[in-house]
Amino acid sequence: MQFFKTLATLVTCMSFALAYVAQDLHVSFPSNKGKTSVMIGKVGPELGVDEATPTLVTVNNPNEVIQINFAVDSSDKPFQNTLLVGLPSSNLEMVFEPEIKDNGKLSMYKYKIDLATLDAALLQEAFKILEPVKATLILASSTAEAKDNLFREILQLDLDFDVAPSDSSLVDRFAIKPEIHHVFHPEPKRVAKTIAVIFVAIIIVTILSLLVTWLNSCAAAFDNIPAGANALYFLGFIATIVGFEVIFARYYLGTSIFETLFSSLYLGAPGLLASTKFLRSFGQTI
Amino acid sequence: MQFSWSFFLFVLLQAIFALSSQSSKTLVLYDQSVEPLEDYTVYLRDLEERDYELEYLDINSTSTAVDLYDKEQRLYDNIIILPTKGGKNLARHVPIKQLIRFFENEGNVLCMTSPGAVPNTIRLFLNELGIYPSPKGHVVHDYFSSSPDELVVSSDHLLNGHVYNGKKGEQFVLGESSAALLENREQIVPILNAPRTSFTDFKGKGNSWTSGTQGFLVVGFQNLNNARLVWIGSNDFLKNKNQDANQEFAKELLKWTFKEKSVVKSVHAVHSHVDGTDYDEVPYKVKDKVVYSVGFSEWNGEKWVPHITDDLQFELRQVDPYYRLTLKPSGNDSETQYYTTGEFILPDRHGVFTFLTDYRKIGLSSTTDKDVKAIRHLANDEYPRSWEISNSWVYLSAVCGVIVAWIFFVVSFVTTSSVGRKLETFKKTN
Repeated sequence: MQFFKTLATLVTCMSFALAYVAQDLHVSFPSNKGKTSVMIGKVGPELGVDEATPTLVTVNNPNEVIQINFAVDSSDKPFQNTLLVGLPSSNLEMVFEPEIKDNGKLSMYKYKIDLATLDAALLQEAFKILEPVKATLILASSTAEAKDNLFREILQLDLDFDVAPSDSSLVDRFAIKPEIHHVFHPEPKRVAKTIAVIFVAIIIVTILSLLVTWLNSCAAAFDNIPAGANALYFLGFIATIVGFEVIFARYYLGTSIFETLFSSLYLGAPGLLASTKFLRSFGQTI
Repeated sequence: MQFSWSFFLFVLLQAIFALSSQSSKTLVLYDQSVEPLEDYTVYLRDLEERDYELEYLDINSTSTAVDLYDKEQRLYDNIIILPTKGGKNLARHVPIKQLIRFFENEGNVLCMTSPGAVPNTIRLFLNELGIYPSPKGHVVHDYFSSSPDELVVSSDHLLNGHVYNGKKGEQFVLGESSAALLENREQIVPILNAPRTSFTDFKGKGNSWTSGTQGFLVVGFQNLNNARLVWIGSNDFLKNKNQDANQEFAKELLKWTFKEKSVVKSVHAVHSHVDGTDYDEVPYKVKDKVVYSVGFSEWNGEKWVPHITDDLQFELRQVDPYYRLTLKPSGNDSETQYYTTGEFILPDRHGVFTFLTDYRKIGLSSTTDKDVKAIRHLANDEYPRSWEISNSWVYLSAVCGVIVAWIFFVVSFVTTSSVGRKLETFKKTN
């Protein structure tokens, strides 16, 4: 029994040794001297993706450079060593390759994520769906078993800066566009009807005052009303004046210019005759 | 009798048009020395059962070029190019310019390559469309796959429901596959992408062509004439031996390629005044109230059915859109779903306008309906008259007052005599 326990422990240790492990994984910010590095520690496949919570880093500079460093056993370097940065849910991920330096028994891996070089479509989508950008590490080889290969989300970047709207056609292509409604020219401003009515009343009162003044001052005494033939000419004279006013009013209300000219002609000839007769014969008495 | 003949002819034509929404004459180019034709019989037989007329040509059997055209007449509706080696042979049979011309003239193309056989004709043709398959020898690997010897991709990687709506947990066997990079073009229809953990590699040398989901295993392209192309990066995908895993997806993929599905048409696009008076009776003028409606149908492989969507938009344009309105469903019949803008007011700008519905969706055939009409300005008697404007009331009342006063003055002047009237004078007595 003791033998089997020892054997099981040995097998577990061997499989752990064969699995890809990123040691001393830490995140630094070389472009921002004041920002302290974040230590994540050892990352291996055995923890399971669902169990570990990825470290959340808030970034407020669009030109920030994020550096991810870790060490891997030199004797068992993975063939595939990529860092996926993006939004897996939207199928938008960029691939970063490492800079590798061998240092004795360990190989030092360094990934540089320059936020300024991230694709505009990726940034736009991140702001649209309000999700942090995720960094996922892949360390794998064909010689290792699938369970020993490392595929872990290690970091989440919360982008706390504004992204200028730019061409994000990859994201928006053929999407429904915002509606456009024509903006009409504003209606011309008009005076309030009450004010207009007050002014009309003032004008009416003024005219009436003028007429009353004429009557009261005997300027309009109506004491010389023509009689006989002159009365006829007088009516013609007045009818001519009133008629021309009516023709003018009708023209204003929409009658055509030709009809107006004809009407003026028809009224003008007898009106001129009647008025001349009246003024010649009756003018002496005025 | 004449009526019955014409009726019969009408019905026959209807039936022909209904059945021929997809094309049928198909050229199959293959290379027996690379992939025996017998490996693909399941799907080829399936096409024949669906009334496709297949014409087979082994590119090694003859050295002369294939005639895709008789003068200006296209001889085939579709071309299927199975994996071939020796790009020169294929280039001799189907030069790239002829392939491009065929595709531009509404011919559909299905082409397959494998990591070991990517002929230059196909590569250059795909590059023209913005699809960049991995070079010869590059194979997609996924070290996290449960079956390390062959690439197996789950239905989670399907990208377009108009091509195929996979079931949850469905797995597709692609065997040894290439992957392509894609340009950001609107006509490209990504269909199946590679797993996140995958990458393409050339004989373990590490220079990867694609990584993760940015590699595409099956890609479609639909040009502006609605001709469709599908590229499959694996020669194993359509093989008989993988039919258990791939059959449903492969059949739907072939249907999509040859326009047996996801084909949309617009019908009865009309616009009129709100009261139903059409433009010919009363041409539009600025600020008229109008309504626009259009119907959409979709070919489901057997018949036209109403196409139901909520992303259909109408535009009223004079160079730039003055209106862009999302259409609302207004009714339907057995074939067509109708949509309407509802009532809207024409802009206060006269000129020539286009009533436009330009419906483009990834995976669906595109359809454009446009009608160009003039919108006139107001005639001089169609503006509001002065008495309707409150500002003018003061002037009008003043004019009327002056007229009344003038007539009163004239009457009083001529009827009031000054003859014989003497002014009374007063002497100052102090």
